[in-house]
This record gives sequence, structure tokens and C-alpha cells, in this order.
Amino acid sequence: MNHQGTKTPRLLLPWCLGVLVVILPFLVKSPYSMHLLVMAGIYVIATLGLYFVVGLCGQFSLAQGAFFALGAYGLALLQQKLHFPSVFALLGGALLAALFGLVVGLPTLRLRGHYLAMATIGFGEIVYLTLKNWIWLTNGPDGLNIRRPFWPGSVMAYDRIYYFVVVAVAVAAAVAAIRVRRSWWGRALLAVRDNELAASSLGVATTRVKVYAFMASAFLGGLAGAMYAQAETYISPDFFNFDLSIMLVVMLLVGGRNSVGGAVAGAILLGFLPEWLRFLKDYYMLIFGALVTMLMIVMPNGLAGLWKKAVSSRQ
Amino acid sequence: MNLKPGTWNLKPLLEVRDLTVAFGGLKALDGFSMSVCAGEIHALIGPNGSGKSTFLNAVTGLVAGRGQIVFNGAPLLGLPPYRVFRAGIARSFQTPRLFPSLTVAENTLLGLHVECARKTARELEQAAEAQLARTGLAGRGALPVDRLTAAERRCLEIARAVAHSPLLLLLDEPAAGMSAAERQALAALLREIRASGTAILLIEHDLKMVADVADCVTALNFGKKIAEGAPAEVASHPAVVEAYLGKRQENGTQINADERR
Repeated sequence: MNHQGTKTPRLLLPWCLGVLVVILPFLVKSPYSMHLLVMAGIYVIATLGLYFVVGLCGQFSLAQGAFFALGAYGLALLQQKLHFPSVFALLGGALLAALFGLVVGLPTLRLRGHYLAMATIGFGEIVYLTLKNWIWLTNGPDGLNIRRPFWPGSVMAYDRIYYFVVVAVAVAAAVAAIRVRRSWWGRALLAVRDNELAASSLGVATTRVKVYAFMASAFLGGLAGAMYAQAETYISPDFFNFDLSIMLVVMLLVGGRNSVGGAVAGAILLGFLPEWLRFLKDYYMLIFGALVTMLMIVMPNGLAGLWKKAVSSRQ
Repeated sequence: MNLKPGTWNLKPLLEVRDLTVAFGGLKALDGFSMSVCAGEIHALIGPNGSGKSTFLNAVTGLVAGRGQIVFNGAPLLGLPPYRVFRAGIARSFQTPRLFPSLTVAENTLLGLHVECARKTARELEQAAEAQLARTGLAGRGALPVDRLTAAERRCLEIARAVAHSPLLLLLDEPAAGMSAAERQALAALLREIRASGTAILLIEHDLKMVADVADCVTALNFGKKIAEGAPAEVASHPAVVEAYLGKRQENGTQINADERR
């Protein structure tokens, strides 16, 4: 009896959320709100990427914004210089980011803690400055225009359709992340995070599993960036600065770095929070920073930790 | 060293020659040599700071050393830890190094990590369950590791280490903090592991336990070998008595206190 009582809402909640996600784009009226929904989905994909390296692997990476940029510029350049069709350019942008993940991961993942964070900051700055200064390739601060993969007649309709593309990719990424957590790879990553020495003493090639995680993280970051380019139809280096990397990490931490659901919730919450706090104008960053700090103190395991506590206290 | 089939068990499984490990100016191991044969439980004793754990760390690739380590016919020194494990050497740590984010069963599954590509998830889970049953942890698989007692944690670390059937198991004071009954269960487990074809190198302070399970004992002090032989022989060796047993007798009361608890 009691068993059934707890089981029904557990099944009910995902269904309600699913229905909400589907009908939401038909409820919003302005193109601006529609665009925000698309952006929230893109942040979810990038944050799920971070879940692999920060959540599962426990390595603090501040390079996700750089991979995001590489995905966006990879798509743009593959389209413009090599005339790739949109879908292949999208995948190409993500793969380019993953390739950079390999190149950056191999030397830096031998570093730990603060050193790794610093190395990834350095990488992010290099990417940012390169995008800004290699004008012959990236058009510098003037940015690049991106061709839309399809055109249904209005921006609103385009964003509405693209929203479902983003949601589909985000759901696939979330399912992949959950499956990885339950696989031998996820187990090995958590073992490396908990005790790298013990993991290596059990035959786990620790650098290899970490580099794979970094590449998966870069791939999803790049995919999100490439989708951002297609959604925004214009990219310039200024969006891909250090703040973006910080924002993505904060999304994961606020959501709860130990859970896929947390990564999703954090990305959505912080994707919309700037809009809800818009009335604060100049004080926005101050209040936003204080809010995030407070959240981290009150719930170190993020929204997911809070949720877990609520569920277990009800039983 | 050329090992011919059929004669391998007469030759040492692990052969260490002139191993020196230095931390700055301090030589934790100073030209130390010993060997472990297949199918034996070999105890390594010595006072605190004599170099026992350093020896384990050097064999498993956690610290660098000079000298020669040959395992199962192949050189071992300089291999990274995961390659040492894949060569057939598993170990436990002085303070158990479990994975708190994982359940008891998942911890054991990590010991089967190198078999993941060849086996289905179900086969792996069954193998892990068998290892838990073997070490007295049957039915505990779903628990987080922090729900286990100290003795159970040590057993879990052994279950994890032997899951892949290593040729050699290195144990760093597995009986520390265990009650008399738990020590007896551990001794039975060690004998069972030996019978299954895994040789054991055991670092142990409790000489009663060493006399109980070990086939051969090597005593170490200041990074050098001071005695080697059958347990009773080594225990009565003057150098060992001076370096080690004299000290233990002072601590004898403490062992009794442990047993009462």
C-alpha cells in the first residue's frame, strides 16, 4: 500500500516534466522567450558535458567555454571554408572540440586540483585570444554569420523547431550520461575521483579514463557551441570569454555535480535566473553572486542533494 | 631467468634483488633482496619505519627504486601501478583505500575492471557477489562502504584485490584493528586464498598470526634484511629479538586490550 503511494509520483513526475517540455514552446508568445528556451537547452548539453569531467571524474575544468567556442567556430568554418552541409558541420564542430580535448587532456590531466584548473583557464584564454586575433580565419571581433540549416518562414518558427532539436540532443546526452554512470567506465571514473592510487592499483589506466572523460566533456561542450551558433546565427569571440566557463561550472555545482538530473536542473535554473533578476539592473551581478554563494553553503550537493534529502525524509 | 613449463613453481614467483629506495638522504630500503614462491604465504615483519610498506609501494610501482624486481619471469621495476596489477599483483593498503562514492558491490566490481571488456554485466555482478560471499560480506553488496565496520572494510579490500585471481596478493597489515575472532576468520581466508593458487606476501605485526599462517618469514630493519626462514626460526633469531620482539613484548598488553574489546 505504502509502496504504491511512493511509486506513483515517481512515475508521474517525469511524465509531467516531459509534457511541460513539449507544450512550453507553444505557450510562450515572444521570440525572445522562445530564444531563451533554446539557450537553456543548449546550456543543459554543455553542463552535461561537464558532468563527465567535474562530476564523475572530480577534475576541475574551466575550459568548457573554450570547447563551446571551438564547436561554434568549427561549425562556422566547416560551413564557410569547406562547404560542409549543416548536419556534418555540427558534428564536425563537436568532433573538433573533442580532438582539442584529447590534445589538452593528455598533458594537463596529469596535473591535479588547482593546477588543472589553472591549466584549463590558460587554454581558455588561448582559444579566446586566437579567435579575436586570427582575423584571416575567424574574422576577429567582427564575428561570423552562420547560415540556418532550414528556414520555416519566421524567426519564431525557426526557434520553435530548433528547440525540439536541442531538446532531443539534450535528452540523448542525459541518457548517455546516466548509462555511463552505471557502466564500467563510470565506475572507474568515480574510483579515480575517490582514490586515484587505489584505482590504479586495481588495473585502471587512470590517465586514459580521465582523458576519455575530458574528450566526452569537450564533445558535448562543442556540440552545444555548434548548436548555439545555429540558434544565434551569429558568433563573435566576446560571448566565449572566461565568464562562460565559470557559468557552466556554476550551473553544474548549483544543480549538484553528482547527478545527471542536477546538471540538467542547474543549467535550466541558471539559464533563466538572469532574466528573472533583470529588474535589478546594475546590482544584478552582486545579487546573483550572493545567491549562488548562499546556495552552495546551504546545499553543498546542489539541487539534486536537496531533492534526495526531501525524498528520503518523506519515506 | 628462463622459466620452463613444469618447473615454474620451484622457482620464485617474485624475485627482488638489491632494491634500494631513497627519500632524499634517507634510505628506506637499502639493498634489500627477497623472493616469494608460488603457493606460499610469506610474511614480512619488522618494526615501524623499517621499510615494509615502502617495499610494497616499490613492487606495485607507487615509488621509484633502484635494483631488480622480476615477477613471473618479467622485469617489474618502473611499470606504472595499473600495469603491475595486470601482470598479476594485487594489493591492499595499510589504511583501506575504498571508494566511498561506490557501493560495496561496485567496489568489488572495480577489482574486475580489467575483465569488463570480456564479460557481460551480469557475469561481472555474479563474480563480484561470489567474492563478497568468499570474504564474509554476502548480502552487503548494496550498502555504501561507510556502513561497514573496520574489519569488514579490510575484508572488502581483500575481496576487491583477489577478484581477478592475482598470482600474488600483497597485504599491508590486514589484521590491524581486528578482534581475535575476526583474526581467525582472516587467517582462514588467507589459507583459502593460498589454496586457490594465489601466493600472499603479508605484512603483519601480530606474530601469533604470522606463526599461524605463514610458510616463510622475512624480517626487515632499517631497510635491510636481518633474518629469513621458518616462522619459529626467525622469531628466535637474535637480531629479530633485539630489533623487533623486544619492542613487541612491551606492547603485549595492548594486544590483550584489543582482544578484550
